[in-house]
Amino acid sequence: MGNPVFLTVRTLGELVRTGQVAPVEIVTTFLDRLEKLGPRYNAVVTVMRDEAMKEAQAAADEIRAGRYRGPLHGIPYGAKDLLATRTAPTTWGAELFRNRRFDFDATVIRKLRDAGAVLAAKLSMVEFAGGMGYRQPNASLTGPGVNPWDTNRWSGGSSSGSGSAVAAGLVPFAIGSETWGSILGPSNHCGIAGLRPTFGRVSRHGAMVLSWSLDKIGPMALSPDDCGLILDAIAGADASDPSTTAQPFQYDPTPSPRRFRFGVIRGVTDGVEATTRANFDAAVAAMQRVADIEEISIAALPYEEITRTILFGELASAFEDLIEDGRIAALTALEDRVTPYSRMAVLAKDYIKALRLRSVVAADMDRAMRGFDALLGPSRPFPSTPLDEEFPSAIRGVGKDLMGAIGNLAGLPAISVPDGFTEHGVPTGMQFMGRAYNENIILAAASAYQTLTDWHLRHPSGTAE
Amino acid sequence: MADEKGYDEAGLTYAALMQHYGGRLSPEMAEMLRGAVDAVLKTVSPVRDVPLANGDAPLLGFAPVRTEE
Repeated sequence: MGNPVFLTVRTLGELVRTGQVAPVEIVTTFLDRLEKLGPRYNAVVTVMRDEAMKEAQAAADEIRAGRYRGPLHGIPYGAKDLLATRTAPTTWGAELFRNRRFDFDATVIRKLRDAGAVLAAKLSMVEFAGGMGYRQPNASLTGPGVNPWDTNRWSGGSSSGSGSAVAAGLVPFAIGSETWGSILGPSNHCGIAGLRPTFGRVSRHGAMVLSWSLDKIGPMALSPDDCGLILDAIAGADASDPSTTAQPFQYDPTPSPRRFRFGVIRGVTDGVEATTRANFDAAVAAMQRVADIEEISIAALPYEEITRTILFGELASAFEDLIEDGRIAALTALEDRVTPYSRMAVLAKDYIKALRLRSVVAADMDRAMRGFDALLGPSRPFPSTPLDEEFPSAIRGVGKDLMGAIGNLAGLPAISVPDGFTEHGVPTGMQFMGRAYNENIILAAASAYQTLTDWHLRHPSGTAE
Repeated sequence: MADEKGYDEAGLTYAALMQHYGGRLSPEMAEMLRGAVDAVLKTVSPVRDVPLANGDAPLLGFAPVRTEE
């Protein structure tokens, strides 16, 4: 077998299906990388070597016996450490829970096991998924997430390890979660494909709650096509998560036979960092070969504040016990030990008002997006920042993220793919945000973009060893 | 800072939080909390300012529960 690192899930799956490579061989390669390179990027909480090797052997036996489960069979992956697993601790990124174990697996973990995927590692994350108010990257029991493209810069958060592990070739794919920016952010910073599914598309049962009405779980991988394959395995209604939708999802990798039609929200790049904006403008220009693109206007509403009000209100309740009994004092970042108290300043009437405005925004956006395949925008308004600096964040009210606010508020799907690099050599990304349940369309659009560019074929130096 | 009627929501909120949790906080943390309270109130202020009609209902996911006996 050649080197499986940086091969897509689809390619690896085909090698496994045709017997050209054994799952044990692939899993061993990535376990070795997780152990050797994981610490360099602070990407890993737990490497699950023993369990993974058993699962890889079981996959090999099944495939040999003619029971091939599909493209994820025998493929290793990593899961953000907020997903409950029976066989390894689940820390939520917090020292407080370094040894905490659950006696069940999150639905996503179970579904991936049913699809034959092999859980190789629990991956690092910002403590409590970043909702406590962190301002700088050192806010996790594993230390700051390190960017494989520049080890003096941040991998992004809160799915830090999921982003860096995929970018550095430590796993072929990972599972992340997003409340606001936690899949698209690390995908942007690390130069990979990251899909935030429609709210309710993927069960959160067994996942840490930051915000009941904003949390989503999604795949992070090397290509939009891989994200589609993974979403196919993890999507679906779940009685254990009443928010899940009965709307079926089946991934369709067929390229679009027609031109796309995209919208760009007027002012979406206002306040965006200069290189990020230039790369986005170049990406839009490239997309004009396969799409009609027009600027659209949306209502002037305080989108970021509405989303923030809901987030603050829900997290104050989700973590009420830890705030009230003072256990937040054990968190890594100083600001995470203090800021949660301030969230109690959100009154019930403020929270309900934000939910009323959410109705308005959801209906307005659906109307505005009618006739469009997706809205385009920079995935993040700023690229990866140095590890020792505060980063801009719309969640803290320091920095703009219009599409992130709208997309998460309205529960809309979005995918980030790389669209260039900064002068510091770190990636920037473009997002395709679709109407609710239109994952197949945004996956096709992102795939079409990648036929026009080669940003996604580049990998960080020092990761090939 | 108080509004034109003398109502200082940030100051009152901060005072209430300090009364409840202040014993846990160093002076540096207390100062950080004051800034965080200001930030939260800056967040909710524009939300409060958006006019809505009485019938503009919140987007809630609630559904009645009926389990099989």
